[in-house]
Amino acid sequence: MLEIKELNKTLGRFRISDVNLTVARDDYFILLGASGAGKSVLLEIVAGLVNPDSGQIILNGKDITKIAVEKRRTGLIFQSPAIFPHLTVGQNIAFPLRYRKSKASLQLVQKLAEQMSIQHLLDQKPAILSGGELQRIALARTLASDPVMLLLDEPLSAVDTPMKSGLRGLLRELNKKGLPILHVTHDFEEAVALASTMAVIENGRIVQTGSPNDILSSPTTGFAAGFSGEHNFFKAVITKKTAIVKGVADFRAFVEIKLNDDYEEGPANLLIKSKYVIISPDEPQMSTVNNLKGTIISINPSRNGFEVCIRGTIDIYARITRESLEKMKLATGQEVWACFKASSIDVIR
Amino acid sequence: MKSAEYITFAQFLTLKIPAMRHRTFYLIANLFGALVLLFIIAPVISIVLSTEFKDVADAFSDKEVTASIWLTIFASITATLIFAALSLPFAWLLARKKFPFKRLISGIIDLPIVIPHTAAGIALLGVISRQSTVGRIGASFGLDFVGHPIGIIIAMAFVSLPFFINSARDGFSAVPERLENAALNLGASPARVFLTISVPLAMRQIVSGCVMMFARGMSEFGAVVIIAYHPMVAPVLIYERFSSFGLQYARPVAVILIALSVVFFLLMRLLSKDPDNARN
Repeated sequence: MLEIKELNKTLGRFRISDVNLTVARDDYFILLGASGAGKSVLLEIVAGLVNPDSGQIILNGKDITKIAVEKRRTGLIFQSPAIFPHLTVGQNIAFPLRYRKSKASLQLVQKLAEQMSIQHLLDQKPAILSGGELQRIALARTLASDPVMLLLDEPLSAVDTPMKSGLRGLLRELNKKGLPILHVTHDFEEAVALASTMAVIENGRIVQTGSPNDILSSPTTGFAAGFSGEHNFFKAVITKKTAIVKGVADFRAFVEIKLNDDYEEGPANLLIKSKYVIISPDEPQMSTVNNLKGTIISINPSRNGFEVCIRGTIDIYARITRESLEKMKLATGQEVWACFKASSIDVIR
Repeated sequence: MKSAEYITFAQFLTLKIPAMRHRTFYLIANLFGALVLLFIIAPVISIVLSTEFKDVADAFSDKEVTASIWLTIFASITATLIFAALSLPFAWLLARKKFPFKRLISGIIDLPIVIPHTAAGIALLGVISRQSTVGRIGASFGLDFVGHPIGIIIAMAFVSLPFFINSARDGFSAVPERLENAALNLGASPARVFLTISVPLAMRQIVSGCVMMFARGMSEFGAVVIIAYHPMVAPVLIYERFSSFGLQYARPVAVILIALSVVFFLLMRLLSKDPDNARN
């Protein structure tokens, strides 16, 4: 468990003020913030590369604030993978090991390389490898150092999109095996896909902490608010071309949402932007494949009109203009259909 | 460097670059360049051409000549190895850390370059002569630095060390700090990070610093002649032959020294090539 207590640091025009956060033993903690919000510095302080002006860092009950970098065992993964260019991939992974040529070390390197699916690269020099491959090497190398937690600094930003989901899967798996992770990112999709706990950092200050759903559905300020209005977030299980989402009130109830493509089966997050949701007062005869019946429970003014919440098995929010609202004479308590195309659904995992 | 970039001299003569503006300027620049090159090459070629091969061969079998050449090489290599090893961590500090008076310290390192070398020799003599503290400590071990190869090594190191430190410092500056941080984070001690990450990645600049330091030390006359006229290093021998016997007798030794310098220079330039160390 990592605890950061009342941490302060001023670096030029940059400052981290009064940061408190706790990453529990099984947490995948995502710190979401725009570039320049102080995320990387915070990780460097935890890793010991930067000294804080004041505050405490406690790792597994031990105050590590004054301990040297190399003794902290906080596996830091940098945004651009810091692979040693003069060593082969295998030598890179073996770098943290004490007896690098021993049989046990070679076996460990082999095992980690297999876990990261890079065993075919072990004898290569890193210069010719892709961002995704380099980040896998960095991960294997960090695991070889036997860290007590992982600190990830936008680890997927140098990785091509197709490789991202594989790496996310790896990170999630490592976390499930008992490695707490503190991951900073500005990528909100990444945050939703991975976080078990989330915090938002703005100008070096933590402005909100909670579950991803809490933060995305009721952002208090700044960065998270960039995604406000996007309340249609659902944890789902995908089977073939449909996603199954559990009901809000009744956990035994569920809805099936049709997708436009074959996705890998398993858990995923769905995002349906509210501007893509159409309201129909009667049973719709439209091309939209997802038509959910419900009752309007709220109509709230929003940036470009109104946001209507339709409660069926799940709550769906739709954004409509003032003209539409007046023309259709919508009111709370009214029964309507919420309709959206399969192609308007973002599957995030 | 790609060999495809080279053209033959005949092609060069017929080369037409239509888009090139300010043609007069380029012409003048080329002309000046040729003159400067000639200025460097002409004396070297002239001394080689005007020296009889027989005289060079004779000089080679002259014990005094071979002894002085061996002494020069030995003293310069020793000075380079000892002082490069001692100042390598310091060069890293200069590249990485911020500390008070850093600019002043960088200036002090360059001091031996700007001090006239005979003056440097006199200054050094004050520190290591029999009357000085260092000299007395040496004497208690039966060592006299003045007129001894150790004195020569010290004089060579003094005037050539800045070349090494500056080159090594530039090499370390070019190593991404991120890599050193990553190594620390993986549990490596600062010493291990220095030896296994920083030094290998800066190796090219370190080796080229050694080459420059060695070459500079080997060619040193001013400081060495004041501290140790005897035993004679090659530059001092050339001077002695010239002042006692004249140009004719100094020339063969000079040719040998020039040839040796060129050979060493080329050899170590080749050694310092290491394309594997392309940094990411």
